[in-house]
Amino acid sequence: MNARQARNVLRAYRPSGEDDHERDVREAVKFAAKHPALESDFHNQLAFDRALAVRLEETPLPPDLATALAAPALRLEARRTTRRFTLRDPAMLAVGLAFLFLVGLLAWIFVGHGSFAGMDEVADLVSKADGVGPEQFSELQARADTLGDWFVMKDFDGFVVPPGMGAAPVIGVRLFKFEDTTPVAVAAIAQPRALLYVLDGASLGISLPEGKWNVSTYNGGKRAFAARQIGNMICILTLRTGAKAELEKYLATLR
Amino acid sequence: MADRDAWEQPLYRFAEILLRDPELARKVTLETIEAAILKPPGDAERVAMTLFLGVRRRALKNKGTIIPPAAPRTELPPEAAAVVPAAAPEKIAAALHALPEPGRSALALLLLDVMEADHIAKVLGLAEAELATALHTARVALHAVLAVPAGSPEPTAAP
Repeated sequence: MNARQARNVLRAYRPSGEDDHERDVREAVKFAAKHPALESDFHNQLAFDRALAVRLEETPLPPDLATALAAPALRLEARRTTRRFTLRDPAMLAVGLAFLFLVGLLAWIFVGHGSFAGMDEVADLVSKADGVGPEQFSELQARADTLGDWFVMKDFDGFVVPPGMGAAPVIGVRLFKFEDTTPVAVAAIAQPRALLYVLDGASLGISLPEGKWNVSTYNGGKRAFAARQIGNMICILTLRTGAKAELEKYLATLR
Repeated sequence: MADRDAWEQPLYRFAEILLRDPELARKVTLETIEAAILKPPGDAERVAMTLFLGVRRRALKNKGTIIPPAAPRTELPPEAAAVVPAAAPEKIAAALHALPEPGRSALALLLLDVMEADHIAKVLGLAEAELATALHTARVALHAVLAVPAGSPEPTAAP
């Protein structure tokens, strides 16, 4: 808001204070607070208008005015309380659009949309972790379902392995903090070449329906990850090569 | 403008400011309400705009000539409000009535607190910036008249 806009808004301000809730009025008042000349003019105007409004209110009305206006006013009132539906009515239009939006949202939620709470954080995590070289991993050859103790010794509790991946051959492990706060355990799997990430979902606000993989893409659709909730933990799987189709093909083999 | 009592009296006061004739103001107010009854129903805001627009049209038709006030100062002087309590009610009514349009209607609607600024602008057919200017000019002109002490000659009307 510039000075001219603020001045125009304040000049049309009602002395009753009825406009106080309006966004442009609040912005104009804020603007005036930083510009003493404008603020002074506004206070001056407000005092003048308030004094005038009081005098107007005090001006006596004809004693029989209320009686004279009551009957036609009631007839008018009776007409305007009946609201007819018309597509041109902005209120009706707004209600209609809101209804359509709600129906669309529910369909999106229940039919399936490939999205979940915290998906952006997961995409960010795997996108950053993609660039990590092998030197960042500790060499360790083991089955995936035996890694829990190794991570416990590194102060990471709750390492879980998704169904069907217990026997996956691990060749390296890594523990890091995502955005310096969320511990993430990573297992590098040899066959297929994949990375399995495990973290506490609550810390990143990730929430998924249990019992199934959610597959999404990142890096403009070139890469894909699958995420799955097991208890409080979130497992994320990425293949070192291939996109969504390859990942889905591998997931289909996990039983 | 949520209920009926909220608009009847302001509507009449608006008519009286524009006409400065209680009987004519009553007639115009009643005619306007009767005319609004015949129009398609609408929400409270639309009805209010129709009513005040109707009163203004009828009032200007009855008394369309407005004497322009003295050329206004740029801003209201400090302590402008002090002149209002000191002025006689008759002087305030006359000064308000004598303001040029559309500033007179704009200021009257604003002071009567009947609708927000963008609705006033619609009723008067003004852009919001024009409304702001009209309101300011009306305030300054009104102050110029009210500031003249009783018994002094009235400010000279501008051409």
